[in-house]
Amino acid sequence: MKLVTNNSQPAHYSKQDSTQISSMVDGELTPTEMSEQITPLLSGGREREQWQHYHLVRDLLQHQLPDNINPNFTQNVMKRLESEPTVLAPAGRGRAVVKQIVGVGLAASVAAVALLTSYNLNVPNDSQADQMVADAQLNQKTLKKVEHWERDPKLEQWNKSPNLDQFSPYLANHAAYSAGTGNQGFMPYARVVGYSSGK
Amino acid sequence: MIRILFLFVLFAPLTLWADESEKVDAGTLLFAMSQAMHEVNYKGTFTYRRADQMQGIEITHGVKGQREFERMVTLNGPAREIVRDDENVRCEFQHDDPFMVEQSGYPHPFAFSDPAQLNQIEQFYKISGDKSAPIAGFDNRKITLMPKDNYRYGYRFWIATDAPHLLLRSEMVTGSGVILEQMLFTSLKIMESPPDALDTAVQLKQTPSNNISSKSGSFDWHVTQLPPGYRRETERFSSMVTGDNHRQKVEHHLYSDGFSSVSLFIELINTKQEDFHPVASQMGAVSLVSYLVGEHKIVVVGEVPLATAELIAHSIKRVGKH
Repeated sequence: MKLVTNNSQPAHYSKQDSTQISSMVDGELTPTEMSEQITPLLSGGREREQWQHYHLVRDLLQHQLPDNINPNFTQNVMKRLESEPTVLAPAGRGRAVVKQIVGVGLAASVAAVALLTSYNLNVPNDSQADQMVADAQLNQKTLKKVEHWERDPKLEQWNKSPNLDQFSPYLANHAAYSAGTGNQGFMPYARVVGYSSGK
Repeated sequence: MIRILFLFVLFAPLTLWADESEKVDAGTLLFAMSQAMHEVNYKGTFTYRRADQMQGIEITHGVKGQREFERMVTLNGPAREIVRDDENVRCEFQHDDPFMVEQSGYPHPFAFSDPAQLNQIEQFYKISGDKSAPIAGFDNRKITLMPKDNYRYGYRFWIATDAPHLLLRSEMVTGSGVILEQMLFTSLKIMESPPDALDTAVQLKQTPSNNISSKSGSFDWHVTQLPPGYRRETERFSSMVTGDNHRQKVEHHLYSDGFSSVSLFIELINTKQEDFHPVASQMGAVSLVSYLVGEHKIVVVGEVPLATAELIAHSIKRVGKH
């Protein structure tokens, strides 16, 4: 996937343009609407740029940031291999064993590649896992030092999905003052803009 | 066996040196980034993702004279815009009246002024650095801060290795590495002169009617228990238009460990206990706790684990008269 670098004067998009392009990428338009929209898209530099942005975003969501590896991945690869027609000759018990070993090896290799790929995105390797265990043990010690408070079971009954817009002024005030530390760049403000109840 | 021991003795100091060098490198880059984000003129588009929501946001940042300007506007979803300068943050959201937050005039004890401050941060975060693939055309280095306890989240910062060391991507993660929120630049342009700074300044002069400003007074509440590393950054009074849609005097305390921060708001409200719906919610990286203490509404909000927000919310004591 190629990342888009904007070397020209940054574009200003109208909200209508943004909504249309977003809808196109998300596949929300009918074929007729798509046809009407695609012509200006291909000829307009700004629209093309935003089209690329949205595709990058979609790719990011769909491919680049898996939350988990499919736990049945290895089994699925094995199943697929077993269903493949045999093309080697001559047939025999030895070949079946070899196929099984190769199959297990191939599935394990593919799983390992998936694990390694995923490690770069989210999943820790062994040394990190060891560190996490060590950190967890440290956590327990730390918690014992400071924790005199036990969670009130009543908290479970409290609203877990409030209307965020009601809390926007609190979030904005918090962002404005926490951003003063400067250590997170503009992230506190991005949080205020990015948070929405979506109503 | 002797060979292995020999190799260990030979290379162990180098490993220690590498760790120390990496730490210095991480500290230098973090310091440079925190400075650059305030001092550089740039414009770009980034994605902000939390849980199952994602938004494209256009950012314009500029410095004119000694004054910093910034504008962020959503590119999809509900229209939301923030315009800020050194003194104020103006927020305009699609379904709400605009409001302004005053942010000037208080010290920032945790703001990096020296890379050596990383030693302080290191008490509560394990810091490491790593190479990473280019982002938006910029070579960068990934700096990771993982929490050493359950009272804060971890951070991953992808910072441009070449000056001016802008932040290109960031993630907030749990202690086990699960991503809570993510920001990633898809395009970024560094500019010599401030982009649209004058337009931004004009917008900020249009003060909304429900302006929020600091007020003096004696503080009536304090927190009896804070997680390790957190300390009170500031306390102030605000006149805020809150969820009940009326202006209200609110006591505001901010606590931080330098990266993670959480705010406590206390306000007198005219709502009966039975009509109030308490909140204990975790939304992406932000935790929110709200409940009533007598006639006072307590709101704790911040990018911290829910346990931290709950601990603070339930360890407040009223110390003033009234």
